Amino acid sequence: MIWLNRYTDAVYCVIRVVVGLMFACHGGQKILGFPPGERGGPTIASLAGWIELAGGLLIAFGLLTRIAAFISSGEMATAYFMMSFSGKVIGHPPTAMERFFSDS
Amino acid sequence: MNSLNRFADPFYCVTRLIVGLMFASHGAQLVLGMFGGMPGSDNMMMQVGGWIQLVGGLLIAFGLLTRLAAFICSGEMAVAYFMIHVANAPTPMAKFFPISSAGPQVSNKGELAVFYCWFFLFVVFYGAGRWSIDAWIRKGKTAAATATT
Repeated sequence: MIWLNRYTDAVYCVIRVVVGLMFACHGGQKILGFPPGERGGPTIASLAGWIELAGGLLIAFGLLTRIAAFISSGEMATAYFMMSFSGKVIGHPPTAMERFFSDS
Repeated sequence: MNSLNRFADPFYCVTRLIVGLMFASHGAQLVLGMFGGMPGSDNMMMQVGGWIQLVGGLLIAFGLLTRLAAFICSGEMAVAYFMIHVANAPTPMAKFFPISSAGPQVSNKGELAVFYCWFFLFVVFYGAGRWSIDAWIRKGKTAAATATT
């Protein structure tokens, strides 16, 4: 099966484009309102949106790829522990991390 | 930055473990009813899909028959994306955008299916990596071959 390894880099590049563009769409939602969906929100959401939009496009087209991926990866770790891991739903009392990053 | 490339293969193995286990959790939800189960999972197609996700996810996570398992899982996710997510999307825009946080008029919410499909396709081409049962078996075989010759 080693012959498959010849195409690893080509497949990787296609995946980088697909995943980068999907990631940028989340930023586009927050910043540009396109694709339509969640828009606005607190300052930290628009900061995240800019990282997602710019980072996603940089990753997709492979410009400054490693640094963009490092920042986007860190942003997703923050998002996971701030939102998903804390079981956040609408009306959820603020978690310790949200109080730390609170901007109101 | 080429110094980082040294760690690409070990890091790939960690990623494979995490993604494989997350994928297996979806299968466990469908066929074993774990994590509260999933409504509408009691038909034949969802059960077959669930077993592919559970078994395939665990095989990929631990790196046993990695390329074969990843090929089947990647195909299953392509089917899931087009047969369930795209087919049930009500608007042309929703047929195109898979973004999971957007509303149903805008998005088919198939982002995870797209991600898993492409990631497993990458696994098919990359192989198991050094921290896997496949690599461990191969090492045993080469050691046996050199011992006999």
